[in-house]
Amino acid sequence: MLKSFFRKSVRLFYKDILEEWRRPWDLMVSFLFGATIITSLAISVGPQFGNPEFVTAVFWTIVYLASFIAVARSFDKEYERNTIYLLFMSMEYDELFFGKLLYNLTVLYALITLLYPITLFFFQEFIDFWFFIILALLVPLGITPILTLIAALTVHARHKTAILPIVAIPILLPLQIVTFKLSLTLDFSSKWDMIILLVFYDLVAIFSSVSLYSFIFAEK
Amino acid sequence: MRYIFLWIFGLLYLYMSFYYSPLAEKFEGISSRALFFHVPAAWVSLLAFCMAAYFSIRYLTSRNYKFDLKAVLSVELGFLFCVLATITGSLWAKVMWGSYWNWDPRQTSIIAVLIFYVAYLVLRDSVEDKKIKPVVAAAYASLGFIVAPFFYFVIPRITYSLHPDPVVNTEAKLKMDSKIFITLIVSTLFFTLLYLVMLRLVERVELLKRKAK
Repeated sequence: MLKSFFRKSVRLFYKDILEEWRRPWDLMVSFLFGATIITSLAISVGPQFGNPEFVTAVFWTIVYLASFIAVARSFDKEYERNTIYLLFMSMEYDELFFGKLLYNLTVLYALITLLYPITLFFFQEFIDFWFFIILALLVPLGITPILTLIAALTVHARHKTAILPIVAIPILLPLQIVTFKLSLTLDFSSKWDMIILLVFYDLVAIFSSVSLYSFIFAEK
Repeated sequence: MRYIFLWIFGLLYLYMSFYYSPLAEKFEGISSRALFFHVPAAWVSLLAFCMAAYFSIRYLTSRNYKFDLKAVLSVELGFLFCVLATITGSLWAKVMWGSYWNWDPRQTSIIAVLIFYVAYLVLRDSVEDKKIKPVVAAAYASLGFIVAPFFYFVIPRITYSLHPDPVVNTEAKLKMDSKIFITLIVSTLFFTLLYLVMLRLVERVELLKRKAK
């Protein structure tokens, strides 16, 4: 049962990766969006940009914004080509959601990996590398389930591209506040309570989005 | 006579908040009386948002349109009480701290909650398909169970706040005059009752409107 669940989800994940491989520019848009903001900030403000904590906070803001573009398409493209109905027929709702979740998580990790060297190139100063790694691992685990769910909800809305950030930002705001508070310190040994809060948010986000998704399409 | 309890509590609330309760120490003039409007309004807004999340989950599990109606009406009422709490809080802040807006975590938190429920109303309005609309709205409102408690309880406790100590504080001690505390309990009960009666009334109006159509 569990084996079949993962097999179908991984197949969907593989389909999405293959699709992106064939049309890489679709995904590159979100990376270029982030890279353009970082570059424009670097050019306009120059080396006096600020302290490493502030650079980290700006970096995470850009990651949040770029992730909206990256994840918004996950369901939209399936509806545009009507392939969503084929997916509904061939797999359970939670398998579909989990597959999309895996794909979006991979995209977000790739986005952070690509944007990090650009930020480092321009601003040099950044928070402690290992601390950054902890944040880079934990933050997408909170963003992705919420954004994947919101992408599934807003796919039926008018002006869906504008609606997605309006609807997603208030839910991601707690995560953003915790990320900023963690970024605004170089001494993370005193911030374990915040890291626990971050992990707690991630767990709640994963649980609530997975359980809500199967309810959304229960009648279809 | 139908809402006799509401009238009794209303009169008791007015008497206690203006005559029975003494003025609190360290507060400017009569500003401490704002407590009996501001705190219950904030409490009822949280209650209404949690009720909306509860009704939304009930809708998702049962697909009974009455739960969807209750959820959206609860959000609207919660929004109203939240705006009232924000306005009274700002007026109180002007008297006590010298400015309407002070970047206090409770002020920023309540704005974040308002943004979340504005987004709910926008999302609900932007879906045209009548079958999908309540499902999408219910799924989103259910997420209020994550957002509302976080902003009401967590944020003000992890950041420095200008606000007076909450009734339920970290030391679990009541730092309040007993008469003020009793008045606060009565005003909270009155506002809760007011919310429940308002919810019932607006629900009946909406159901009658649907029948008339």
